[in-house]
Amino acid sequence: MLFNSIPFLVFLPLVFALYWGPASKSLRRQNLLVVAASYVFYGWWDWRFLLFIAAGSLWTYALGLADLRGARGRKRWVWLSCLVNLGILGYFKYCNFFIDQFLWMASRLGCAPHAAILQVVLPVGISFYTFQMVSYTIDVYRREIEPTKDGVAFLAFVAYFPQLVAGPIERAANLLPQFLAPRKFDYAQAVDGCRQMLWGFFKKMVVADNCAVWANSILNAGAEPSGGALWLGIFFFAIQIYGDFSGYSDIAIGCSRLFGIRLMRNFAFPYFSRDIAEFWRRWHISLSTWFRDYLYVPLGGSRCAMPLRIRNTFAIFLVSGFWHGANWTFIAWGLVHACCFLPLLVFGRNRKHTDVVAAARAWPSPAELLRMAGTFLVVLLAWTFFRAPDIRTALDWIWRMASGAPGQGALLSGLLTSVKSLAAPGGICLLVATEWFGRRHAHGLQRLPGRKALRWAIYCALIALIFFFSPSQSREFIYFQF
Amino acid sequence: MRRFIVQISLFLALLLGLAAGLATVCLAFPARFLPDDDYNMAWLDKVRRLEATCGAPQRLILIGGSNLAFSLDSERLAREAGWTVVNLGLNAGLGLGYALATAEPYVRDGDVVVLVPEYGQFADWDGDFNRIAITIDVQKQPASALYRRGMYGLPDQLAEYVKWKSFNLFRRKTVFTDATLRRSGFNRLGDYVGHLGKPSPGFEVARAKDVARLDPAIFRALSRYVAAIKTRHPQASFLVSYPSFEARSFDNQRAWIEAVARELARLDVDVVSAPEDYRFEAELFYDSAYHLNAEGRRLRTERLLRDLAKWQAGRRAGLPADGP
Repeated sequence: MLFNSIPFLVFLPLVFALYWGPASKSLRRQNLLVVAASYVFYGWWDWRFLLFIAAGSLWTYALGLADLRGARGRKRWVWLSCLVNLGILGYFKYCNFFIDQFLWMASRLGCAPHAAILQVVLPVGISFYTFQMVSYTIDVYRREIEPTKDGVAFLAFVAYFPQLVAGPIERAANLLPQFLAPRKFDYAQAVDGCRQMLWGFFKKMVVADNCAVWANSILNAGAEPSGGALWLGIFFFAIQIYGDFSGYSDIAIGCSRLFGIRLMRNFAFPYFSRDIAEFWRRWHISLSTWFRDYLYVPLGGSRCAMPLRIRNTFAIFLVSGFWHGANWTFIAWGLVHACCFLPLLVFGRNRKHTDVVAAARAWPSPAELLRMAGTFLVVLLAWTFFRAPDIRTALDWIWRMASGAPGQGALLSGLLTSVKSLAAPGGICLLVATEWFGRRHAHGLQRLPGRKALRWAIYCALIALIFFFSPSQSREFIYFQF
Repeated sequence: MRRFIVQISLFLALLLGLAAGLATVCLAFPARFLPDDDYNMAWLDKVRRLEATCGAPQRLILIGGSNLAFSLDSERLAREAGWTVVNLGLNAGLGLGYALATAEPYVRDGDVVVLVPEYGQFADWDGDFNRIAITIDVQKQPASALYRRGMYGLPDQLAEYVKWKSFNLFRRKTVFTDATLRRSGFNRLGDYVGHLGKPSPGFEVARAKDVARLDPAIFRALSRYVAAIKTRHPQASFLVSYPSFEARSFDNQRAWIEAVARELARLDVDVVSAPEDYRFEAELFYDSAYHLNAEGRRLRTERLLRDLAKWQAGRRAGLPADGP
């Protein structure tokens, strides 16, 4: 079920009413309802996906219980649990990639082996909930949390519908205790949750979906786009992916607050970052901290010699790229980020900007503005790899962008045909302005005028913008494919 | 909790009120911005001809989307086979359901109704907001006419319609679909001839369709439609032919087309053509994978003439139609 669909408009109020109505009498009933609702939400795509999530949850839960009984060979159990979970993920996500690479290498060596490409359908959100289960197993192994005996709460933790298919990737230490404790309805939380959802819908349906029209028209065009057009296309893609993914996260976090459950923050206005290190503290926070805690730190983190620190940094960026999909372009994307991060690491400047930009001022200084623009430019360059279908195309695009040929007038005038085509540039302006002035808060709409009439007028205006300017065909969220 | 419910309810009531007000304005006032020469205004001429030819001998009513408008020479059908042709093909966005509902009151004994829907129409009986716009803004009928023609798909279409109309409310003149297409481009039998002799502006090849999206309810609705008319007019005949379709698009959608053909063969209608017979090469098309140019149109008309002659011969001999 998509957040931006009619079934969800019916589903959410129904689950909300049952959750705070009949189910509110006991914690177990509320958790059972969360599990049932989450399975309906997930099964809406394909009921067969439920088999994987249910089997994975039960497997992880059972191994957690084995740990509770003080089973010997804990290390073996944790390895087994992680290998099974990551093995399933690897099969669905990377099987064909490795077959392809094997065939390519074999052909280079003069052999012609016969291997069929498998018709594998990737279950939606498998990368997200698998990582969540793996984090539980490792945290239990490290004794950072107690393994839970409450199976229903554990199933709710894995399948919790607001964040099931595209995160934030929650840690057991944050989410699981919330399913084990009674919840009380909090008016302020619920209202702010609704606002955050509204802002998320705006980012997704107005900004991202309209930017997608521009980006796809330029980057999917059969004719070879000029350098100028490519800059524009990649710019719109950068905004599209931010609006799409952070929009999803806002909807997920806001929706969860309606149920009295707090999810971790996933985006903190990353395009206002002053260097790449700051960008990665603000972009897809739940994934970057996951890799930090479960890969970077075990490898030695930053408490080791510089060569090892460099190796560790490259490891998390490359794995992070590969997590996004089975294509060399994603690995190249990670590599570009790692290379840009490297000078900051070597010169010890990677934690220089840990505060909010222009924290005590309304506007940034010229130096801050330059730093933000420079960082954004580097991020754009990296998005080129992310968006291109293959490495060769990405390099070709970058070559053209560097050549600086002007944009294709005909292409742009074709895009600017009606009032609706201004939705993307207009939406971007509104997004940037709102997020700039809201950058000290958790989301763009957290601080609104005190007068109720004015607040309601803002809500109505945003809803009108969503209604009038969202493309008629609703699009899936980009991160569902990962 | 109570406070939250009250506030949310009040806000939703406000929103609903605003939405209902906007929808009412859009439905109550026909657009003034549509020029008389708009492409979709041709629907008026088509319905008028349907009405005027009631009771004419050997009447052939063609129902489908723009494949019929662009890709058929009705004058030749009339000239060579003596049919009184009414070509209702205009826009697949109207939905097959709407086109059939429009024709229903005018079908008489002796009429031959040929169904030639675009393949995509078998996934979407309702069409898009075009049918509301045609009813309210072109035919200037009250909104109740929409209700009389069925409520299928109305909520979605209404939202799209309100968007479309609101965006155009303050414009002096606009067009419905494509600015290069005109009502004056149609001939008196309902064929679009404005594109003949013009170079192709290019078109998109249709992509593969997931056969799972084929809607069985559409075939049941078709079956009910045919049965209902045959009860009132037993001498009316229903035939099925296939739209002209560009070769690569056809190949991309072959599984879909075969599934459509299988379903149509089960209906109580005479299937007079085979889909493959109307698969044409790309150079015969104008601006879409369904719209033929002059040469393509000539070939398609010849094939339909042949299919209809074969069907007539079979009927005279008392044989069932050959089928594809």
